[in-house]
Amino acid sequence: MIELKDVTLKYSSTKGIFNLNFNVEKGEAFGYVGPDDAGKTTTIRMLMGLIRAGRGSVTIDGLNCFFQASAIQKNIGYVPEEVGLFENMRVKEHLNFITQMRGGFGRKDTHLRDSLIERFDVETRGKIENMSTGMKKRLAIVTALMHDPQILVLDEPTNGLDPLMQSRLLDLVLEEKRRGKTVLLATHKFEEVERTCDRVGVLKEGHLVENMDIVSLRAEETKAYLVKFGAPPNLEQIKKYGFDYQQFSQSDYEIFSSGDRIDVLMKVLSHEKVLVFNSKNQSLEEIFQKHYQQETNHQEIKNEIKNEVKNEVKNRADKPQAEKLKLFRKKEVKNKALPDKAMKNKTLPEQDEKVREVKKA
Amino acid sequence: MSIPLFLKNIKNNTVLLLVFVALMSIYLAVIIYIYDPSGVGAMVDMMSILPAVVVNAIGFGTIDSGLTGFIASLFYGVLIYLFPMVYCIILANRLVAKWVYEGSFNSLLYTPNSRIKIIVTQGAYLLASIAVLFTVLFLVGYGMSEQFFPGMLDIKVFLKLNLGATLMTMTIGMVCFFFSCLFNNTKLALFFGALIPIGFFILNTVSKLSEKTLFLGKFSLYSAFDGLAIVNGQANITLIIGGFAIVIVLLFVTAVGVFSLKRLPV
Repeated sequence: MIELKDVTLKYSSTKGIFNLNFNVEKGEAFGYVGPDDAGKTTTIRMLMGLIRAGRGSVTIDGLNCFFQASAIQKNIGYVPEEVGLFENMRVKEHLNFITQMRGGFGRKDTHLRDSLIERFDVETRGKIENMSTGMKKRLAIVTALMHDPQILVLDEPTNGLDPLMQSRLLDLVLEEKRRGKTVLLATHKFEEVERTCDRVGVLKEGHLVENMDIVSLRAEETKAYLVKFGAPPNLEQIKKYGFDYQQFSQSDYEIFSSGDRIDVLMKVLSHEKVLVFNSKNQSLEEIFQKHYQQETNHQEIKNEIKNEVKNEVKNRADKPQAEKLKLFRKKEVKNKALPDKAMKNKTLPEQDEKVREVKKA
Repeated sequence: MSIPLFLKNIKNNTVLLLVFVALMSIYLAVIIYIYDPSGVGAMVDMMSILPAVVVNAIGFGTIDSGLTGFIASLFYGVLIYLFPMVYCIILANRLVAKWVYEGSFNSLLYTPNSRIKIIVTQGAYLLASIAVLFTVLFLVGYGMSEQFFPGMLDIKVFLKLNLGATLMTMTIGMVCFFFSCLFNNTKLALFFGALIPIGFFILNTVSKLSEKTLFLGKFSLYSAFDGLAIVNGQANITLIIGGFAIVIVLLFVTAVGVFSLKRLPV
C-alpha cells in the first residue's frame, strides 16, 4: 500500500509539493494526472527513494521510502518517464546485470522475462545506445517488470511508444491489476486512466485538487455526441427535451446529455436524419481541462464565464455545469475553425498566382 | 559491496586502467633502462644546462646516484603526481557522476540495494584499481631492475615508495570521488575533481621554486609524499601512510554520507 501523509517538498514558494495526502490501497489502480510541472514526477521520485520529503511521511507497505528504499525495491517495478539504461551494454547483458543486482545470481528462470521480451517485441541483439527511443522504453518496461513486482509505478509509461505498444502496455497493466497488483499510473492521457484505473487524483501546482472514484464518476458524467444531420434538424425539439448543443456548421452539431438520459436523446434523434453519430466520452477530460486551462489563461476564462452567465443565465438556470461546457465547446470551435480559414485565405491566392505565372511563361 | 556491480565496474573500466598501467610501466621501464650505474654524470650535465629554478621545480634538483634514488627522483618526483591524478579524475567521474548525470545510476537504485552499498562498491573499485596500478608498477620496477641491474634495487625502500605513492593516489582519488558523489552534474564534478588535485600540484611545484614560496607546500597534499626523503630515510613512512589512510577513510565516509542523503535527479 502506498501512503503519502502531509507531504511537503518545496523547490520554491510555488514549485514543489504541498500537503499532499493520498493512499493507493493494495490491489488498486490509481491514476495520477496533472499538467507538466505539477509535481507528479517529484512524487514518484519520493516514492522511489531518490529524494526525501521535506515534511510528512511517504511509505510503501509501512516502510519509509527514503531510508528503507532497498527493502521496498524488492516489490516494486518502476517505469520511468525518461529511461536511463546502461547505454554501452548489450540488451541481454543489461537484463542479466539487473537480474543479478536483484539478487538473482545464476538464476535460470527467465520465463517471465522472455515472455515480456516477446510481448513488447524487444530487439535483444545489439547495444542499447543504438536503439530507438521507443525500443529503449520497451526495454525499460521489461526491466521494470521482469521480477514480477507487487507494485507497479508507471510514469508516463506510454510516452514514446507506438499505438500498438501503448495498447499492449495498458492491457498488461489491466492484467496485472486483475492479478491483485497495486498500480500507480502517472500520465497526461485521460483515456489511459479511464481504461485502467479505479481512482484518479489530479495534481495541480503541488496540490491534489481532485481525488475521485472513476466508477461513481462515470454514473454522473455528461456525455457529448458529435452528430451530423442529413437535413436541418428540429432544434426546438432538442431544446425542449433539455439537451444542450453546440452548432459547428449547417449540419454538424455537438449534443450533450447526462449519462442517465441517453435513451431520451435517442428518441428525439430518431425523428431526424442522422448521418454520423459519434460519442465523445470526455467527462474526465473536462475535469482535467478545467485544471489544465486555468493555469494557462486564468483571466480569460473568468471573463468568458461571466459574459456567458449574463447572457444565458435564463436558459441555463437549471444546468449549473452549462457554462463550463459551453466554454470548452467555444474553444474547440475556435481551434477548429481558425486554421481552416487561415489555410484557405493564404494558400488559394498563392496558388492562383503561381498558376498565372506558369501560364505566362 | 555488490559483487555484480563490482564485476561490471571491472568490465567498464579495465581499458582505462590498462592505458595508465601501460603508460606508467613503459615510463618506469625506460627510466630504469637509461640508468647508468657508473654515475649519473650525463643526467647531471643535462640538468646543469637548465636554470636551477626549473630543475628544482620539476623535482630533479637532487639526483641520487643509487638506482633506487634515481628512480625516486625521476619517476616518483613528478610523474607520480600527474599520471595517477588524471586517472583518478577520469575514473571517479565515470564511477558515479557520469552515471548519475546520464540517469543510468538510478537503474541501480531501483534494485534492492541500498545507496550505501552501491556507493561503497564504487569507492572500493576506485581504491582497488589504484592498488592494482601500483602493484603492476612495483612488479615492473622490480623486474626491470633485476633484469638489468641485479641486486642494485633496494626492494624495501622501493616498496615503501610504492606504498606511499599508492596511498597518496588513493587520497587524490577519494577527493575526486567525493566531488563525483556530491554533484549530480558531470561538469561540476569534473571541475572540482580536477581543480583540487591540480591546485595541490601547482602549490607543490611552486613551493620548490624558492625559499620564499616554500610555505605553499604546506597546503599541498603532494608535499606529504617526497620520494627522495623516503630513499634517504628522512621521511617517516608509517606516519605518511597512516596520515593518508586517515584522510582516505574520512573522505570515503563523507562521500558515502553525502551521496546517501542527497537528492538524485530522475
